[in-house]
Amino acid sequence: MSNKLLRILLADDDEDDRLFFKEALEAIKIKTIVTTVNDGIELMEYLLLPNALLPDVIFLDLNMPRKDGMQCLEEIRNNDALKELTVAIYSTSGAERDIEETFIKGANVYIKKPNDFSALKKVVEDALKINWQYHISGTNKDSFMLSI
Amino acid sequence: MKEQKNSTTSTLFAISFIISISILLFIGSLCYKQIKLQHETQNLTTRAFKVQILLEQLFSLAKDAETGQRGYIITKNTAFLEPYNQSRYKIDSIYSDLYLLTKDNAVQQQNLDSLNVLINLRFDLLKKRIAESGITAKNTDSIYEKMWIGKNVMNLLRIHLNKMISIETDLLQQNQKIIKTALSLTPMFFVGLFAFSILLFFASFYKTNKSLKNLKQVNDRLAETKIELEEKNKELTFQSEEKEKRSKELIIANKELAFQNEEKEKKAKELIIANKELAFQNKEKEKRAEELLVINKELSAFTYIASHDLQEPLRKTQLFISRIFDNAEQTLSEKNMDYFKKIQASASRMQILINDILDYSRVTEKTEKTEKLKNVDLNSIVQNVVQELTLAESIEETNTTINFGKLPEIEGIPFQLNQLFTNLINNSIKYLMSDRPPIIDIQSTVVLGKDIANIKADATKKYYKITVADNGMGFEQKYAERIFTLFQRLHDKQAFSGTGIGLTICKRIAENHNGFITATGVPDKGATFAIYFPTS
Repeated sequence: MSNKLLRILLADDDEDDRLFFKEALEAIKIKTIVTTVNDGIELMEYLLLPNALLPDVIFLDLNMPRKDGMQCLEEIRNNDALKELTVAIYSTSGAERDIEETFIKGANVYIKKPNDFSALKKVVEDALKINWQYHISGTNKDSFMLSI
Repeated sequence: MKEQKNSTTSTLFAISFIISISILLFIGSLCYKQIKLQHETQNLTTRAFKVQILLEQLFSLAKDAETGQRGYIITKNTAFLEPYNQSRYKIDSIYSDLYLLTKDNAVQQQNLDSLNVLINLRFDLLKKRIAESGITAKNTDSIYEKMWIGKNVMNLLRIHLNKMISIETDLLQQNQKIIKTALSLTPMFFVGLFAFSILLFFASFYKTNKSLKNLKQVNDRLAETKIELEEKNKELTFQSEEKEKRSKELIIANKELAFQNEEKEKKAKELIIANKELAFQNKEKEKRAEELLVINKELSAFTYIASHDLQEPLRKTQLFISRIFDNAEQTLSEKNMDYFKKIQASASRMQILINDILDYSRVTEKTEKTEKLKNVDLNSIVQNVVQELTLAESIEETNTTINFGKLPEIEGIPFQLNQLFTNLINNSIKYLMSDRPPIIDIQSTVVLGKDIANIKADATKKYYKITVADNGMGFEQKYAERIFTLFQRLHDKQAFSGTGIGLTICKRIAENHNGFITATGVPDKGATFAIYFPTS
């Protein structure tokens, strides 16, 4: 798996966060190709393009303008072509409410954005190291929240 | 009815009166007739006697005349002629008397006529004899003859008179018979009259008496009735006076009522106004409550969003600082490095503050769906908290000992109870005495509500009293309330990190579980926090 390029899609409206995320990915050992979109609308347009090259993991921010991450998660899980996609929630919020709701709606993992770069690198690397084939969504709430 | 009876009685009375009068008149008339008859009969008797006497007188006169004539003839004395002459006149007057007396009797009149003839004849004979006496009697035979004739006439007269007397005697007898019968009837009539009169008198007396009695009775009754009527009148007068009084009283009462009614109406109006006011106030209150609900929601949303959105720039600030530390540690001057460290410390503090506010806002949202009450074993909660704190190394760093006895199972919200014990243990560790390692003792007992000296305790309930006692620096008892107030701190932040939110959250959590929390402190000795949860 580490020999293969992982296709990563990040949906985040914050330019700085997109930058930190890219830097973190560059700093880890896993080889990735990163695509970024600025909000939920752009994300869904990208995913629903004909012949779209679907990502291995989507990092989804929750608080976005126009269409937020929760809506995107619902649409993805309700779309037959997209519902098998791996979705990692990537949010500033650590609220129990948000964690609970995204778990119920079928997100695979929840990452609270860290306030330290090394922590960021670690949490992104951990997320990408998960063998997603065996990490089936909605089965284990204890491992859902990815602790830093 | 009575009138009818009266009228019939009076009619009867009149009829009986008329009958009585008729009978009386009848009897009276009979009596009168009787008396009259008697009177007439008496007259007749008297007349008959008179007639008889007169007839006797007539005969004796005739004899006197004869005697006188004889005397004269013998004596030639004229003195003897005296009776003769007188008797002739007397006979005439008697005769006329007789004639008058017997004028009703045709038979006697006839007899009188015959008598008259006989008397005249006798006197004629006498006269002749007297006349002849003067001449001396030549023939004695003629004298005898003449005397014989005279004697015969006298006899005839005698017979005739006797006949007449016997007729009168017959009449007398007849009359006496009539009188006898009449007289025998008359007393009977009188007796009858008397008896009937007496009877009538008695009847009328009885009747009158009865009527009088009746009248008296009626009168008495009338008098009684009058008295009764008078009494009744008095009564009525009294009653009417009473009624007037009552009516006056009623009028007064009515006025009073009217007044009261007006008062009531006034009050009712006032009430209506007050009601409207109340309704208005209620509406206002409802509005306010709605507004409050909205505000609360907004506030909670605000708290959440603010905390969330505040974290974004803060997190990025921290990230950038961490990037600077990573990339340019060597190139920074020591002074600038200090500044960056201070920025990082401030940012961390800000981070903690925001997290605490977030925690507080979460425990304030009591109606959260995900926070339904469940059976929670406090033993496992405390174990969990100790484990977490051990992982966080805060226990090891301070060499803290935590003891806990058997804790109960209560109905509660797990994450809040977790936070409660985390905050309390952290609090005890934070305010340790530097000369001795912290010892925290957690125990549970059951107490009665009425035995708890706290106004929040319900006297009817039982409570689990969970105490968290430490041997830290404690506090003065006067601050026991203040330490639970939001953002209130007993120490400056340089000496102790903290936001002044932790114990407020504990208080809130205890209240969310229908309980409460108290604190007792002794400076330099330690503090004890007691949380009371109602048993089931």
